[in-house]
Amino acid sequence: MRILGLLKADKDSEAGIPPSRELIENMGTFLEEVTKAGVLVATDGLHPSSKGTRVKLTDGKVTVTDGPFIETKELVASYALFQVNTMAEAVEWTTRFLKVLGGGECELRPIFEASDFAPEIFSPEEAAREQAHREQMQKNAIKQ
Amino acid sequence: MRLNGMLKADTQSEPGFPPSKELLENLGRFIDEVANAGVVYTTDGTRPSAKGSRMQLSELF
Repeated sequence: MRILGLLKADKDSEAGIPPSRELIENMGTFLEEVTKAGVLVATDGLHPSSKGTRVKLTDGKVTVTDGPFIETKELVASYALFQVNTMAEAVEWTTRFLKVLGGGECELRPIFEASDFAPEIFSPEEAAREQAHREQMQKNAIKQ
Repeated sequence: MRLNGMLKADTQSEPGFPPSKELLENLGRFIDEVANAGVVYTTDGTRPSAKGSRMQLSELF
C-alpha cells in the first residue's frame, strides 16, 4: 500500500529558519537508509506558506489568495510518499524520522488505488487511461 | 520550479463518498491534458482521515 506522510509546519518552518548543518547530515544518513530499505518513493520539503498561493472555486467564482496563511497547525512543511505493506510499517519509519528531526507532528494517509473503486464507476477504459497517465507522468518527472 | 498542490478535504470526501462515473471520466480527460502538457508528475487521492493516523513526538532538544 502507498501512504502519504505529511509533516505539520511549526513556527520555525513558517519563519523560514534553515535547518542546521548537523540536522541536514543526520537526515541525509536517515534518508539513505529509508531509500535502501525500498519504502520511500519521494520526499521533499516545502517553502513556508508565505511563498504559497491558495486557489478556491465557490459557486463558479475563482479566488486566488497569496500566503502567508495564519493557521500554522493546518499547514504542511514536508511530505513523504511510502510504499509499505502495513500502516504500522509507515508509523515505524515516521517515528524514526521525527526522532532525527528532534520533535514534530506527522499525519499518515493511505492513498486510493484504482482497485478501490467498483468497475461500474471506474471502467476498464478509465483504468487503461490512468495507466497511460502514470507512464507520461514518470517521463515528466525525469524531464525536471 | 516544482510546486506541491494540495486539495482540501470537504464534507463529501471525509465520509468517503465515491466520485461519480461522470466525474472520474471528466477528471481522466483533464489529467490526460495536464500529463501530456508535461507539467504534472504525480497525483493521487488519499483515503478519508478515518483511515489515517497522526503521530506526535514532543521536542527532544
